[in-house]
Amino acid sequence: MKEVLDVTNASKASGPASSWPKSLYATPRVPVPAWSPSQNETFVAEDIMEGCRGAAQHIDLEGLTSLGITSSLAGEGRTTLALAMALVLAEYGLDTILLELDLGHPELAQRLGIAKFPGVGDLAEGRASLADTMRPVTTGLTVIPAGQTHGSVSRALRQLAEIDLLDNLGNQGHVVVADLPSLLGNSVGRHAASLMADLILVVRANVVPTTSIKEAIDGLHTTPRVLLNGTKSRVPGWARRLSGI
Amino acid sequence: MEIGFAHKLLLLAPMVAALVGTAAFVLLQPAGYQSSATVWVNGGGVGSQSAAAAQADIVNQFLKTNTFALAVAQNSPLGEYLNTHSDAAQGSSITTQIKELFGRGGNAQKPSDDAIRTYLAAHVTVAQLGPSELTVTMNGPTPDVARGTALALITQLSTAEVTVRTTPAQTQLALYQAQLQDQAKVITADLAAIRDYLAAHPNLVKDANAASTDPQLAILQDAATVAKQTYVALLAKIDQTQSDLDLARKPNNAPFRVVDAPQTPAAPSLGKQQLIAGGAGILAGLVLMAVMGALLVRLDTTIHSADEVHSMVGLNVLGSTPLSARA
Repeated sequence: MKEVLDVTNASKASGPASSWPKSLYATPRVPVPAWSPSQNETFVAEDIMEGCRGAAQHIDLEGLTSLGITSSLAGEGRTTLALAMALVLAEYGLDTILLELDLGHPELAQRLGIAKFPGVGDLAEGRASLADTMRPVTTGLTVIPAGQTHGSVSRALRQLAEIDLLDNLGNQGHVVVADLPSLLGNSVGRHAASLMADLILVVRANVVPTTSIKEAIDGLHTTPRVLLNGTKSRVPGWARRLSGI
Repeated sequence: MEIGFAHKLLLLAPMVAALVGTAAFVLLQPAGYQSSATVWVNGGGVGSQSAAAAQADIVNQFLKTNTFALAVAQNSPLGEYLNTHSDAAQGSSITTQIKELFGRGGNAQKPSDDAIRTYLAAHVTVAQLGPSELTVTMNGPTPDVARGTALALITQLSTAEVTVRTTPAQTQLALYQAQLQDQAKVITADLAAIRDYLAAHPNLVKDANAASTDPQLAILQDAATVAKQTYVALLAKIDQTQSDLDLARKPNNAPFRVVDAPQTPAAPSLGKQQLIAGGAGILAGLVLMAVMGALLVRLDTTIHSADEVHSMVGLNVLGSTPLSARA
């Protein structure tokens, strides 16, 4: 991680992000030291981490470059699960970058207690270098917060695509986990999702209608896999015992 | 069950609304005071019906008559109360009760006979305690009205039953007395005919032998004798019927005796109407809850488990997590 930061720090002097030499990103995947999952307890509850660990076992980690965490609607637990999934990938030894692409409703910086600026928006609009935006939060995990977007979110996303941020991070050996906007409501969610190689659709159990889910996944460039959130039964123990469930 | 616990508030809302409505209705009802009399029914039952059951039927039948209800009202504080609170007798609507709350209710219109009967029937409860014992309970608006009406009810019940039992005998007595009067006239006429005949035949007065052999006089005398015998027989029947009536009216032969007289209630109690309203409110709440539950299940198209993901939206499941705190 230190080496990557050094590389990106070097790139900062070369000008706006769009003009960064791509060769600077082309570093091998950096091995990260082993660390204990207990370090994550302050970020995400352990039972959620456990669920994400189980989910990660079904992901081809070798070929993984970017993983977008999205959902049909807002409030399905997208940000929490993106953070948990990033922590899990870091546990697996992957040099993980958690990228906040929900530029309209950023939460990560506040939740993790890191500086909000500069971030993705500043990077896309040329006000900051990649090195400025990266915040190492724990072993193997760096967070790039949403930052500030002066123009439209769609325009910022287009600019991110133009500078090949994801490819470049991938070439450096990073795995990018992105906290995406929700898919329904406006076009930003689909636009952000289109930047990602793989998608996870967070579905909040017992809340989101199947019609919304079908509408959300219709026309996506890749078929997302589902991480079902909120599966813990709301039926109290006494009621389950009484009913024999 | 998962849907039910996920939408606890939606499920409970109808029940809460029904209970609040019921509570409001019960609170709007005027306070009720109950006064009960326990009576022991004399004699046996009718067929397979116990004496108490038969007596309860009789009470309920009397309560359906205007005459009985009016007599009870006139002989108790209930009459005066209904005269001054005609709204009570007319049946209390919500608007009437609200007006009463603000002191605008009640007027001095005299209630109709039907209204009095309906009020009494709605506020009197008859319950069997055993095969020969039953209670008659009056639910009144004030302690005095409750006790006074219960007392008058018992008294009037006894009077009415005795009247019913003695009515055939009294009718018979009246018939006998009418026949007796007619018979007296017949005797008077027969005696007058004899006197007239003897006046026309004075020799028969002086000659007893001639009189005894006179066929016409004999016919007249026979008729008078028969009339006298009939009169005497009627007198005997009247005496017998009168004796029967006196016997029926004796306290020992009353249809029932009061074991516990009605007392003045010290505190208000829940009346039949309130209890019915409470039960109906709970029932309505349960029905609404069931309807709401059925609607929730019917309209629910959400995914509840990982197994449903593939079948309902055709996506593969990577895993599942308990609800995140921020979601």
